[in-house]
Amino acid sequence: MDCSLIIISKSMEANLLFIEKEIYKVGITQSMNGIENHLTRWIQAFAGYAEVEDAHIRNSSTSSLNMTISSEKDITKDLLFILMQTQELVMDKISQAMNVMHEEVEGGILIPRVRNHLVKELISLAVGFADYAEIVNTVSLCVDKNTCFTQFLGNNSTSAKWLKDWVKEN
Amino acid sequence: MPGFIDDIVELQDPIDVMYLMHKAYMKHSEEVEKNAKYCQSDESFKMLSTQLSEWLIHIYYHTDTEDIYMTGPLKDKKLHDGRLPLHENVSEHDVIRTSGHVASESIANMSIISPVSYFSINNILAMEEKNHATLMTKVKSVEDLLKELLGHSKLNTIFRRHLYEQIVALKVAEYDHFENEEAFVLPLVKDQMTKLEQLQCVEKLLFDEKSDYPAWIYDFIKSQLVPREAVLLDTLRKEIEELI
Repeated sequence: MDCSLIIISKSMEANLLFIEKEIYKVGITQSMNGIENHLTRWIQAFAGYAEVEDAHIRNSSTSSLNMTISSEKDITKDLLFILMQTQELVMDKISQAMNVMHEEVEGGILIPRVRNHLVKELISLAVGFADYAEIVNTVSLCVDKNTCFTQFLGNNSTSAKWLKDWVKEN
Repeated sequence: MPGFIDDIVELQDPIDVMYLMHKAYMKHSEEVEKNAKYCQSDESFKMLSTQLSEWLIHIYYHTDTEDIYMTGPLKDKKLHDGRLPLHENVSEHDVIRTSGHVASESIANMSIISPVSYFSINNILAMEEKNHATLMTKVKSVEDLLKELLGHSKLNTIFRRHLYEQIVALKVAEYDHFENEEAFVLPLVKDQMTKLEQLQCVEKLLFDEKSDYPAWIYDFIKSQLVPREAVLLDTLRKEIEELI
């Protein structure tokens, strides 16, 4: 079994590819509302991912979760700052994609030019998220993956259930 | 105004050759983008590099020639929303050149620039560390650590996905520009240039007089068109040969 971070990030990357493909179906079998709904759910998953990341890295007092580098080292502080900024960059990219959707799409009709812009922003988001997840995966250390799964995807809380279902869909 | 995938059935004016050229360029850009998306092996990467170079050689020649021979002699005319099409056309050319430069620099320097640089570590740490020497030491430490932790394979993946993003940005800039040019600049060309002047401009766009083989653009465009459109291009070539 993989660490929850890996499981969620793989689903998130796959979901962005799925949304990109769906954009080409707008006006045929898909609507702009449908695209926005998919993206909103992705954002919700991102919030869940950030929470799991936080527990693994910044709040690594839990015995099964830790970092690959010693928290005593000065470089750790720099790395954590980079991680935080990279996460903010992902949020900026989400806003940019949403802006295209809200400001350039008129009446739910997606013309090729705006579709290009939307796809471009989604690709940029996918790249930004992949970078962020790459750093997270690199610096986090999940010793007990069963506990990790139970803690973040296998418990009975509403958010964990939602995230688990979303991951399954992807 | 035909779209970039529509069949072009006639050229009403010589400058309408732009529809054929834009269509040919967009077709090629789409292919490069697709290859960038699925590029995995070193062999396919070499092919991508060649295709990108070809794309850029064409688009740089096209934009430079337009600046001199097409928009250069024209007078700008303010649109209802205040925009100046010729001024914007030149700015869009700069956007394309910059986007092209970013992608080609990535490929040219792939062996010396680490993909870790895409994480903007320098800019991020500069938010907190103002001393330049200390900043550089910190950046190097973090970059070295990340390089070590990520390893060659992941660094390669990072490089490829960023290159893909750059190529998509270039294609989108090109698409926007072609569309704007067809909607706002070509009407000005038709208004302000005689047929002979248009033919002279088109000749410059299709044939590179400084090259040992001037028809390299013409041949490329023709190779991307369907037979009926290629006939339109051949007919235009004959007209150029007769009148100029």
